[in-house]
This record gives sequence, C-alpha cells and structure tokens, in this order.
Amino acid sequence: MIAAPPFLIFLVGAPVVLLARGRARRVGLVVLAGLALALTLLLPEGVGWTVRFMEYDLVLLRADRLSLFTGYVFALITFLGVLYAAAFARPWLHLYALLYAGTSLGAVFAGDVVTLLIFWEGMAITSTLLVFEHGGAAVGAGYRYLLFHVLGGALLAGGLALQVVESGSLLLGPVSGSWPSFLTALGAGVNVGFIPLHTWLPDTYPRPHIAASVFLSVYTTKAGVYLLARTSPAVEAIALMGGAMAVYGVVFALAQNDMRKLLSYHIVSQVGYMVAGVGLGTVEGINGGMAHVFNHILYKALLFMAVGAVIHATGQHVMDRLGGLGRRMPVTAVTFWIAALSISGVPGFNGYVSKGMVIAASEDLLPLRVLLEIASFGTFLSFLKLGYFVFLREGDTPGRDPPWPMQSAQVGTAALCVAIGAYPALLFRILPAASAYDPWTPTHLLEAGLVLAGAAATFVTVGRVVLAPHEPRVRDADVAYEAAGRALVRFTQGLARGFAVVYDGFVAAVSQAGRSARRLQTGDLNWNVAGVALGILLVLLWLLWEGAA
Amino acid sequence: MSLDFALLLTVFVPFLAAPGILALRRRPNPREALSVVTAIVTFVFSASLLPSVFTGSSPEVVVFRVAPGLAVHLRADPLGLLFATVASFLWILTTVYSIGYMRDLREHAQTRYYAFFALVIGATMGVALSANLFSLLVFYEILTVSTYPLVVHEESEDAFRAGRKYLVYTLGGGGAILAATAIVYGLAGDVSFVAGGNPALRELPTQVAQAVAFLLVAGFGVKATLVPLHGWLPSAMIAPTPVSGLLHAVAVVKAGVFGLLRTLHFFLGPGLVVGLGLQPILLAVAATTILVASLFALVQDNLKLRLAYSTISQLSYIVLGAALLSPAALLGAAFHIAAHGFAKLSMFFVAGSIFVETGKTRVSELDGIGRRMPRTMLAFTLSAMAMASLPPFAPFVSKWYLSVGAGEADQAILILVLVTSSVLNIAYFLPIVVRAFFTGEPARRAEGRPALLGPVLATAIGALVLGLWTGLPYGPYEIARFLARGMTP
Repeated sequence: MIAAPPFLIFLVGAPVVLLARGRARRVGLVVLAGLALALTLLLPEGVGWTVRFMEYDLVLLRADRLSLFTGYVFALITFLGVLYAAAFARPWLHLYALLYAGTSLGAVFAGDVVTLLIFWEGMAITSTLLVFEHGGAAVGAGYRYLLFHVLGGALLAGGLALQVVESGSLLLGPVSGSWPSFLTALGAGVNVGFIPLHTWLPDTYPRPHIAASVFLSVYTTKAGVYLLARTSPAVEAIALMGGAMAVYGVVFALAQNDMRKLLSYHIVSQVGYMVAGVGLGTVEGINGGMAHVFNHILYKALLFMAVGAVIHATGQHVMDRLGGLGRRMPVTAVTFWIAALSISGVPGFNGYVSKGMVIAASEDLLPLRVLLEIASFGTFLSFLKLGYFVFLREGDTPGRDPPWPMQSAQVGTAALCVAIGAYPALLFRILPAASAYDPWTPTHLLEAGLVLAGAAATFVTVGRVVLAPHEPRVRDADVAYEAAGRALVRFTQGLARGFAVVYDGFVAAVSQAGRSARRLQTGDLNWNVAGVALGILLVLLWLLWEGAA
Repeated sequence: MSLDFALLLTVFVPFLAAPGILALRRRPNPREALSVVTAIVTFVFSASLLPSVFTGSSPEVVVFRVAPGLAVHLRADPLGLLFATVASFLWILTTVYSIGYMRDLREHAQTRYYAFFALVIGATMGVALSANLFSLLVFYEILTVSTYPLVVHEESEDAFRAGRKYLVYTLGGGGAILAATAIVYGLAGDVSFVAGGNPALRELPTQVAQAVAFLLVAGFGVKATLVPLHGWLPSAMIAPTPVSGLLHAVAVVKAGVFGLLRTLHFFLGPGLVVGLGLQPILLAVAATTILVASLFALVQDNLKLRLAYSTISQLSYIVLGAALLSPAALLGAAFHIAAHGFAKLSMFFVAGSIFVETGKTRVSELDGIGRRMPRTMLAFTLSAMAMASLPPFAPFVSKWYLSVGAGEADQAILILVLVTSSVLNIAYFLPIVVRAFFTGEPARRAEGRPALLGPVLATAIGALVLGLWTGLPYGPYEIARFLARGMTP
C-alpha cells in the first residue's frame, strides 16, 4: 500500500498522459483517474511527506477522517468527470481539469498552512485556465473569476499568516483570534460563495465547455467548506450566512432561463446547507455539512452532466427553447431526474439523508431552520420547473443521448446517488465522526414530505405559468461590482488630475517666485547697498532684543 | 586573493571598465564583450564575498578618508550583499538584452550608453557596500549623475524635459540626505551603519533627530518613489527599455529603498524610529503609495507607464516591511528586492521586445500579440502572476513574511493593504494577458532574437526558481533570513 499524496499522481501523470494521442490518450486519462481513486481509497490515516520550504517543514500529506472523507469524494468524482470529459478531444481541457483536481486534493490533504495556500492558489489558477480554455464569452468571466479568487486567496494568506504568529505553529487547524478568524473565514468565504462574494459563480460556471462545468462545480466550493470545517467550525454568524445563501441561491435560480446558470445558483444554495452545518459546529452539524458535501458533489456533477448532454445534443443553453426531450434522450432524462430528486431531498435518494442531517442539527437555531426549509421548498420547485420544461412538456427539439463515455459517467453517478439514498450506512461509515442520525424516522419523513408536497402542488397549479422560462429581469450583485469598478476608475482619474494640479501649481509657484526674486536684482549699486544696510540693521536689532531678554 | 580586495574590485571594476568601453567605440563587438565580461566579473566578485558574511566576518576596505569619521568606506554585510549580488546578476542579463535591443533598433550613441551603464552599476555596488552614510551618499549622487545620460538618451525635447525633472527630484533628494549627514556628523561625529542603529544618534536632541529622520526619509524617498515624491519615474520611462528596466528593477529605485532600509535598521535603529514617532507615518506613507500607485496603474494605456506605477507600488512593499520593524517583515522586505527585481525586469524586457518587434507601446494595441510572440508573453504571464504574489513565484514568499511581520508588529490591518494590492495587480496585468492570447488575429510566430528572448525567459524563470528553491545556498532567501535573525525583535 502506497501512502503517497494523491496530488502527485495528477501533477506527474497529467502531462505524461497528454503526450499520447487520440484514443490512447483518452484511455490513459481514465486509467490515471482510476489509479488516483484507488490510491486515495487505500490511503492510511497518518501524517507524512514533509518538505523543507522557507524556514518551515511543510506537511504534504495529512490523512485524518475529515481529509480522507473529502478526498474520497473528490477522487471519485474526478474519475467520473474524466470519463465524461473523455468523450471530447480537447487536450488542454483535460490537462487543466486534471491539474485542478490535483491541486484540490493537495489542498484537502495539506497538513500545514503554507502547503494549503500553495494548493489553494494553484486551484484558482488551474480553474481559471479551465474557464479560459473555452475562449469567447468565458474569457471576460474568467478575468472576474480570478479577481475574486485572488482576493479570497490573499485574505486567506493574511489570516493564516496571522494565525501562525498567534499560535506559533504552522499546522492547519482551528483559527483563533479576531483578525485571523475574520480574514480566514472571509478568504474561505469567497470560495464558498458567501453573499455577496458569490457573483463569480453564476457568472463563470455557465460559460466554458460543458465538461469543464462538471469539474468546476466540484472542487472550489467544497474545498472551501472543508477549510471552514477545519479552521472555523462553530461560528453562528457563518451558520446564518449559510441559511442566507440557501435562500438567496434558490430565489435567483427560480428566475433563470439558462440551465447552467440555474444550476450554478443552486450550488450557492446547496453550499449554504453545508456552510450552515459547519457553522453550527455540533457533531451532527459538521457530519451533516460534510455528508452534504459528499452527496452534493455527486448529484450536482450529475446535473451538469445531464444538462451538458442536452446542450451537446441540441446546441441550446436556455429552457425556453427546449422541450420534449424526455422521450428522445431517455438515459439523460432518467439520470437527470435521479439527480433532481436527490438535490430536492426526496426520500430514497442521497440528498434526503444529508439535508435532513443539517436541518436536524439546526433545530436550536430557529431562524436558520426556517431559512433552510424555505430553500428546500424552492429547490424542488426549481427542479420541477427545469425537468418539466426541458424533458416533460411537449416539444420538438431534436436530440439524442450522448456518446457512451458520457452516458456511463451519468449512469455511474446516478447509481451512487440511489445507492447512498437507499443504504445511507455506506456514507455513515466514512463520515468524520460517528453519526447517530436516523433518516427514516417518521418525523424526518413527514417534514420532507410536507415541503416536497407543497412545492409539487405549487408547481402543478400555478408554477407552470408563473415560472415559465424567460430571460431574467433580476440582476445580481454584479451590478454593484461593475458600478464600483467604474467609480474606482473615475476616482483614480480624478486623483491623477489632482496630483497634476498640485505639482503644476507647485512648479508654477516656484517659477513665479523665481521671476519675482529676479526683480530684486536691479544691478543698481545704491539699491544693493541699501539692502545690505537694512539687513545689517535688522540683525543688530534682533541681537539687541535677544540680549535684552 | 583577499576578500577585502574582492570587495574593492566589486565596486571599482565597473568604473574601470567605462574608459575601456569608450576606447572601444569603433569596435562594437569587443565593446559589448567587455560590458558582458565586466558584468560577469563583478557578479563573481560580489558572490565570492557571500560565504564570509555568513560566518560573521565582514570584509572591509577604506577607500578614501576625508576626515575622521567621514570616509568612503566599503563593508560587505548581508543586506549589502543581497542588493549587490542581485543587481550585478541582473546587470549581466540586462547587458545581453541591451545588445539585442540597441542593435535591432540601430540606436545612436551606443558607446555612451554602455559606458554610463557601467558607471551606474559601479555606483550601485558602492551604494550597496557602503559602511556609512557619507560613503553611501557619495555613490548615491554618482548614481544620479551617471543615470542622466541614459535617461535622456533619445535627446529629444521630451527626453530633456524628463531628464530635467529627474535631476530636480533626485538631486533635491540627495541634498536632503547631505543635510542630514552633515547635521549628524557635526553633532555626533559618527555616521556609520551599525546593525540595530548607530548608538551615537541617541545622543541627539529629539527635535534634531526628528529633522534628520525626516530629511533622510524624504531624501531616500525620492528614489524609492514614495508618494508624493514619485513623479520623476513615469516621466523617466522615455528612456530606452533596458534603462527603464535597470532603473526599475536593479539600480536606482532599489538604491532608494535600500537607503531607507539602511536608515531605519542600521542608522536610526528601530528603537529610535519608534521613539521619534516615525513608524506610523512611514507605515501610512507606504500603504498609501502601495494603493495609490496601483490605482494609477489601472488607468494607464502606455505599457511602460503601467509597469512604472506597478513598480512604485511594489517598492513600497519593501518600505512597509522595513517600517514594520519586525524580523519577519525585514526578511520579507529584503527578499522582495530580489523577488520583485527578477519579475519586474522580465516585464520590462517583454515591453522592450514588443517595441522592437512591432513598434507598439500601448496596451490597447496588443491584441493577439501572444500568438505572434508566445514565449515572450508566457514570460509576461508568469511575471504577472508573480506580481500578484501567487505561488510558486518568489513574491509569494515576500508577501508571506510581510504578513507574518505585520502580525508580529500588531499591525494586522496592513494585511488588507497587501490583499487589495494583490487584487489590483491582477486587475491591471491580466487584461494584457487576455488581450495577448484571446483577441486579435492569428499571426506568424516572430519572437525577438535570442539576445532579447533569452533574458526575458531567464528573468521570469529566475522569479520562479527563487520562489521554489528557497534553500538555494547563499541565495537571496538565505541571506534575508540571516539578516532577519540578526535583528533583535
């Protein structure tokens, strides 16, 4: 059994595999991802792989229950995502995706703060490249994306540097002290999508290649949740922010027409549940939040895969131009509905388990509980809408199921959603802490049932009309950022003009003083003698005055 | 050969090369060869002094004594050698680049250019290796004067105007330093640099000490481009690009921040800086410079001006680190001399290559340049990431230590300044990368000739190597760490 940090496999293997061509390369990619998955699943608990950097001993591999849990699901979805992406002959996309997966695993298994930061920034860079790879409209979004992530990374670096000063230790762990906690939480918060730092997510995720979106939906936000669990658990403000994210995301999702943008807003919303769980900080809260990480990665990647298959088949990104694909793309439709029921928390699917855990953990904080229930209602409503308008309603959009690598990835992921939904013990065994949660209690079933029934009723009655897809009229916080950017430029131009005025004024004043002083040079001897005499008189008077005092 | 002699040669070999270069004016190839060889020799001599400094012995040499306590006196210590080795190493690359640049553009007065270049480096070595304020000032002024012909190289109306502005600023700054030196020498009789502060200054009356401190900060602050004394630098961009790179990455501006480092840590000393109430002012000025200069960079269309304002901002990282007065901050500041030097010089080399190949100077003209000059623009991309302090590049290390230093000095709020600056760096450099690679028409590959492309890549790779291999023996990180350990917190 090899205890090597999984990131190594990707960092070393990715360039190698990409030297191959055509089918050999695509097979190589899947094999590489499979190898990484196997290695990660076999990792023993423990700490190792120290490296000397700056004046510190960095720890490249720290495998404990929390990091292993997160690592497992990252490696698993990488395999499924690579399988999906292998259908396309885009070597740069594959390279960036593998590097992105590698740096994410590096961040999760980092034992010390500096290693984490290096991989964190690596994630930002590789994911930006993944966005840029597509070109076109993705490029502008990629610029904004990197701005946000550099902001987050810099805040995180500052917070963790302060933590090192306060604690004297480089190990990655709970952060204490007001400045370190604030900066670290905010830095992680950018990745996670704290409102209003979330705008990069719906701005960016819909634009690049459909296979890229699958990868993007996984790592950045969940690594952020992992980091919050590691450094800032049990902060009520964070828990409430989670609730806010849950509702905010769902509200905006309901207004969307673009399918991937809808899914992106749901990421914000679902990550809100995870953040709420971690923010509550209790054993059930953290277990619930992390369980939701696991399940969400599976069903959200599946949603992007299914929607990606629709886009691939029809060329359409928006719901108002689609319809009737349920019959023409049956595999995609079935896998879509499995994912949709999972995200909505329908009993029997994986989302129900983890969502229930988080909501149960929130019972002591009523405002949070209410927010989360509202979000659940909205989530199901939103996916009924998506599923109906794309697959169920009458329509003549042509389309058919995608190539087999994509289908197998979708089916595999869907199977996992169903398996965990039916046998949650599979998940409970690997959770960071032992869990006493029982998803099948009548109370839990009833709660979920009521919310779901309410959403379904709403959709069937008024939803189909009120929520008919059209270009959204709501604008997100982007407008504030754009306005701030423009104001900053105007301010700077004003500042530059101000400086110029001061400098020119100074230069002009000095020149003027010089010109005036020149007038004292009359060349007239009498004038000069008078001046000297006056000067001597003044000096004498001053000396007398000083002497008298 | 004794190390004292090596020290002497480090400073004077470039001075001696200048007449040699003049003598070879009719024979360009031997002339250029002499420049390159001189650069290599200077670097080798400066590097040879490194091991001794780590063992605690400091080679020193008194070159010329004016009066007791007032001498041109050289001494090799960690901070001085960090500056000297980085500057002389980058001079090698700049000289190679100059050859490509000057010849491709068929520039006039190349002999004058290379000769004064040598003088500039000699003066820089002198500034770096001076053991007292008087000696530093002598070389500092030689630096000002010998850079003038390089700034006005073009000999146009604009160039002369820029040169006049340059002289007014820098000679004014030099005058302030002279006044401070005279005051201290007159009242205390001792202007030498002592680690932790010169004890003789503690005898000075408070108001005199404050005046001296103000004069030194303002005097060095001109070359260090502290806002509002920075105005000369954007105008000086009219110089040929290797000169702008030299001014920005290697010699003049780093001499300014070096002077501030000497002032705060080896002349006034941290105790006196705090006692005089100087620290909050310095931190505020540095923070303001970092932010204001980055904002100005955002609105510049001329590429070299954008780089100039970025430099003004980055230099104040070093000033910030110096003013925090904590060991970690000092490490970050000293290391940034090297980290910024490599990355920024690479960007200037890129700007020059673009100008040589296409004649373009404005960011708005650079659509698709990445398809025409992919390796050049790759270097620019790497350097831009370095400027934003992203790992695995060297400025990541500087920023880490500056942040730790801010924590040690109880100034956590300054971290927000560093955060904002990182974001602004991406904001004004990334669009250039995006334009280069994602807009414009496909084009035939036409990079600069090897003499241009080589230094472009070497400096960018240098920024990467310095960031990854912090354990490089006697490298900038090791020196900075040794320097910081010598500082009592």
